Amino acid sequence: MRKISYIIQMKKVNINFQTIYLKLQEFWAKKGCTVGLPYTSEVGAGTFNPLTFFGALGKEPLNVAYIETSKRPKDGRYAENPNRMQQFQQYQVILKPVPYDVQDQYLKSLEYLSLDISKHDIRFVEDDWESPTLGAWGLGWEVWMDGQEITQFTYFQQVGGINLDPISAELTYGLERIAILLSGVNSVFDLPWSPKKTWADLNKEQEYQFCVYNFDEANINSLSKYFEECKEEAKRLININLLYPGYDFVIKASHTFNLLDARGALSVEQRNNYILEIRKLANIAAKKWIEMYS
Amino acid sequence: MDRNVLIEIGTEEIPAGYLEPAARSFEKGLRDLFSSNKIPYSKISIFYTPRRLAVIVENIAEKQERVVNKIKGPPAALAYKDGKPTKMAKGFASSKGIAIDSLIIEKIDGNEYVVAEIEQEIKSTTEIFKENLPSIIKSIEFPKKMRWEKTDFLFARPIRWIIAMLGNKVIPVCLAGVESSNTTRGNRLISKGKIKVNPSNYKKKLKDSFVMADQKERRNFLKSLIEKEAGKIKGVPYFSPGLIDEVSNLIEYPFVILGSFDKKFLTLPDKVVISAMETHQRYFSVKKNSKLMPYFISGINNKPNKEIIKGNEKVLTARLEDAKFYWEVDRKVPIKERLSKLSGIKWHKNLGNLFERTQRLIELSEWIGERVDNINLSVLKEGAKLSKVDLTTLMIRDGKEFTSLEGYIGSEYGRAEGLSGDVCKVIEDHYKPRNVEDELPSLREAAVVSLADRIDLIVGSFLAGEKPTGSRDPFGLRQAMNGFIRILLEFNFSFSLDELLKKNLQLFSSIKNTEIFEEIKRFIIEREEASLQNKGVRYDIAKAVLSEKWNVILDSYLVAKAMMKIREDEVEFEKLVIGQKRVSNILEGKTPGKVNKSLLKEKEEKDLFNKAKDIEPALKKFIGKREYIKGINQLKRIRPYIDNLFDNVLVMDKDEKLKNNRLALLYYVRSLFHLFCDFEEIIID
Repeated sequence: MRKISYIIQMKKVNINFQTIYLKLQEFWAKKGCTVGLPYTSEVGAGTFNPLTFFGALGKEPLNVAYIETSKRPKDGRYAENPNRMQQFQQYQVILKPVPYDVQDQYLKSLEYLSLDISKHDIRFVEDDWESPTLGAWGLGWEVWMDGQEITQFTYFQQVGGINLDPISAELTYGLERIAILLSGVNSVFDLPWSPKKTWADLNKEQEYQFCVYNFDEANINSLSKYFEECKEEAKRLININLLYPGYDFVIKASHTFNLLDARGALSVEQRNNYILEIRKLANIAAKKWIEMYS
Repeated sequence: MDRNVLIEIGTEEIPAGYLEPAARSFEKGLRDLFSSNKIPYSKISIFYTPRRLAVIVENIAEKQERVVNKIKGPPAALAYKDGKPTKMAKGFASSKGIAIDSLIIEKIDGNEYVVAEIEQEIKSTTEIFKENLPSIIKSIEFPKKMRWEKTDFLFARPIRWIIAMLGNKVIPVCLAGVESSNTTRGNRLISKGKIKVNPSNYKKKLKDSFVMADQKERRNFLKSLIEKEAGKIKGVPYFSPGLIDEVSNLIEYPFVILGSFDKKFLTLPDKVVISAMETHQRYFSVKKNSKLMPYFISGINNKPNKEIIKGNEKVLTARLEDAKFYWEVDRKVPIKERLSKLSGIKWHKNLGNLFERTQRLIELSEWIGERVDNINLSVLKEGAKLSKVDLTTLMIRDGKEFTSLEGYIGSEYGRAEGLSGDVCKVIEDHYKPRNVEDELPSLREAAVVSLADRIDLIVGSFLAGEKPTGSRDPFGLRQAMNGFIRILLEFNFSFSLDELLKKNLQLFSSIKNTEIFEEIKRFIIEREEASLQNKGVRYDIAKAVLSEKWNVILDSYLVAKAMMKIREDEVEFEKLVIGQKRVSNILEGKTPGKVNKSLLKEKEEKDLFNKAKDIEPALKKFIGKREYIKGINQLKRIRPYIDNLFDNVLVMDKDEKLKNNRLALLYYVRSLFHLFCDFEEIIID
C-alpha cells in the first residue's frame, strides 16, 4: 500500500507550479496569442493590466496571454490558512473576437496540463463578473473542477464604463489552485513550485510579513493622503494626454484603497465612495484611450 | 415518417435559474406562431439542460390551413343597379384582383355591402419556420442577455449550434452566425463529437450520450440517487427549498457522490455547516434523527470516481476550516464586550456608527415595549442591546457565505456563552421577517426589537437622503415597512406611529425637521395603503381610512375591514356616505367653532344636535373596544336627521350668527364621521 502511494507521489512530482505556468504559456502561444508580461504596479487582478484594460477597448483583434501577480490585501490570513493569500498568481488570456470554440480551447488547455477531463467533474457555473472599481463587467462563469473554482471565464460587455465592440473573452486561471489540484498536495504551502522549491520556500515569509503590514502596520494617514495624490495625479496626467502614466496612478489609487480597506480604516459608506472615485478615474482613462487611439 | 418538428438551441452553459422560464417563453413563442399562422399540431414538449433549450412538436401540419380574408367593399345599393354591377363594383373587384362574379353581398352592421373573399397564400410549415424561427429565438426572455459575436445577437449565453428539423429534413435557418443542422452534442465530459439526431430519436440519442433532456426526469432521478446514497449511511438528505431544482439544472445527466468531512466540524452551529455546504457548493447535507452527519452529497455531471470525491472533500474542508477559524477567533471576545466595538463600524453617512444605532434601538424598543402587553422588559432590553453585536464578528464581516446568517450567529455565540435562551432568540429573530415569505419573530420581545430596527432604518435612511424612488430602494425600506406592518397586525400591537416617529427623530436630534417627518409619514401611509389593498381593501376605502387612522396601523386595518363589510350592503352604504358628503360639501373645508346651543332655532337642527350628542358616547365606547362595525352603524342613525335639516332648513341663513352656528353643528357632525375615516374620499360607483 505504501509502495503504491509512493509511486503515485513520484508520478505527480513532475507536475509543479512552474510546469503548469510554462505549459499554459506554450499552449496559448501556439494558439496564436502574444505572450505579454505582468504589470509593474500592484494590481488586484489581471484585468488591470493595460494589455487587458485598454486592449479590450477598440476594434482591433487581440489575442494576448500573460501571468499576473495579483494582490488583494484583505484576503491574507497571515500565512496560516492554506487557501487564502493576499498575493496569488493569475494566468490571463484575452481573446478578441471570441473564437467560436472558445470553451473547447479552454478545456484543451486543461488537457495540455495533462489533466484528463473525462475523469473530473468540470462545470461552467454562472458567475457574472464585475469589477466595480474598473467599471468593468461581463457575463460568464466560474469554472469548477470537482467543486473547486479554478478559472473565471467572462465575456466582457463593458470596460471603464464603455460598451465593448467586439466582445472579448477573458479567461483567468487561478494558478495556485490548479497546481494544488494537479499535484495532489493538500495545501498551498506544500505546493511544489519547481522540482527543488515549494511555494512556502519562495513565498511564505513574504506572505506573512505583508499580512502584518496590510492588517496591522499600514499607515492609514499617509495612505489616505496618498490616495488623494494618486487621484489628482491620475486626472492631471490623463488630461495632458499622458494616458499610460495617468492610468498607472489609477492603479496605484486602487491598490491604496485596497490597503485602507484591509486595514479596516473604511466604513461601508466611505468604502463605496472610494470605489466610486476609482471607477470615475477608470472611466476617464478609458474615454481618453478611445479619444487618442481609436 | 411522422411529421414531428425538433428545434434545439445549443448553447454554452445557461444559468440554472434562467432555464425553466426561458423554455416556457420559447414554447409560448412557438404556440403563438402556430396559432397566428393556422398550423395545427397535436403536442409541444419542452426540454432543457444547461447546454440546450429544445422543443418537439408532434404531428404538425405540412402547411397552413386555408385562410380566407374578407374585405369590405362599397354598399350593395351602390355596387349593383338593376342586378348589374356598377362601375364602383368593377373597380373594387379589379383592385382586389378578383373576378367580378366572385363578389358576394353580406350584411354588416345592418347594411348590405359588397365583400371580396381573398384566399391567403398558403405557406408550408417549413417556410413559416424559416421566416420566423430567428425572431422567436431572439425574443426568448432571460433576466440578462449578452452579446458575443458580430451580428450582435442577444441571448443568455452564446449559441453554438441549432437544430431545426421537420421529420428527417433540416429546416435551413441562420442566426447569430450559426446555421441549422441535424447534429447535437452530448455531455461535454463523457461524450465526444457531434451526434446526428431526428425528432423521433432525439431523447434516446441524447441519453446514450449522457444527457437527460427532460428536466422532470432528470430532477426526479437525481433526487432518487441522493436518497439512495444517503440511505447507504442510514441518513436522510436535507432538501433546502429550491436546491434540488437548481442542482438538476447545473448538470446534464445526474450522477451523485457521497463525501465526508471531519466530525470536528459538527461542533459548529448547524446552519453554519449547512451554509458551507449549500451556499456556494450546492451540496446536500445529511441528517440522522434530525442531527447533522459528517457527510455531504453532491450532484455531478460525470461518472463518479475517487478523485472527484477527494477534490470535493478538500473544497468543503477548506470552507469548514474557514468557518471554524472564525468561530474560534470570534469566541475569544465575549459578545457583551463586543458592544463597544460597534462604535468602530460606521452605519451610514452622517448618521454615526452601529453603537449609536444600538443605543437608539434600546430606547425605541423600550418605548414600544412599555406600550404593548406581555413584554419582559429585561429580555427586551438585553436583546436590543446585543442585537447587532454579531456584526463585529469575523464570521459575519468576512465569511462571505456566512454573512447571510446575521442574527443567527449572534444568538449562537450567545448560547455558547450561556446567555438566556430568550435573549438569544431576540438576537436571532429580530431580522424577521426578511421578506414576504419569511416567518415572523417567534417572541414578542423579538417582534418589538424588529419594529425598532425597522423604524430606525427608515428614519435614518430618510435623514441621510436615501429614500426609495421608483424601482430604486437600495436600503430595502419598502420591505422593512411591509414587515413592520405585518408584525403589528399579527401581534395585535397598537401604539401611535406619530409619537414613535417623533421619538426616533428626537434620538437623531432631528425633532425639528418637520419636512422629513412629513416625508416619512407619506412613505408610511403609502406602504399602509399597499398593504390594505393587498388584503382586498378597495383603494378609496384604504385612502379614506388612512387619512384618519394611519397613526395606529391595527385600527386602520380594522376600520378598513369594517368599511368593506358595511359596503357589502350597497344601499345602506350609499346612504351613510352621501349623508356625510352633503355635510362636507357645504362646509367647503371651513372649520367653524363650537355649537352654541341657544342659537339652535329650528326643530330640525335641535334634533340633529341632540341625536348626535345622543350617539356620541356609544360611538366612543365601540371605538374604545375596536368594534368598528357597531360604531359605524351608529352613524347610520343620524343620517335621517341630516337629510331633514338639509330638506327643511336653509343652512346659509342671512343671519351671519345663525349661519355660522349651523355650520358649526355640521362640523361637529362631520367630526363624528371622521372618528372612523374620511368619507369624502369614498367613491360611490
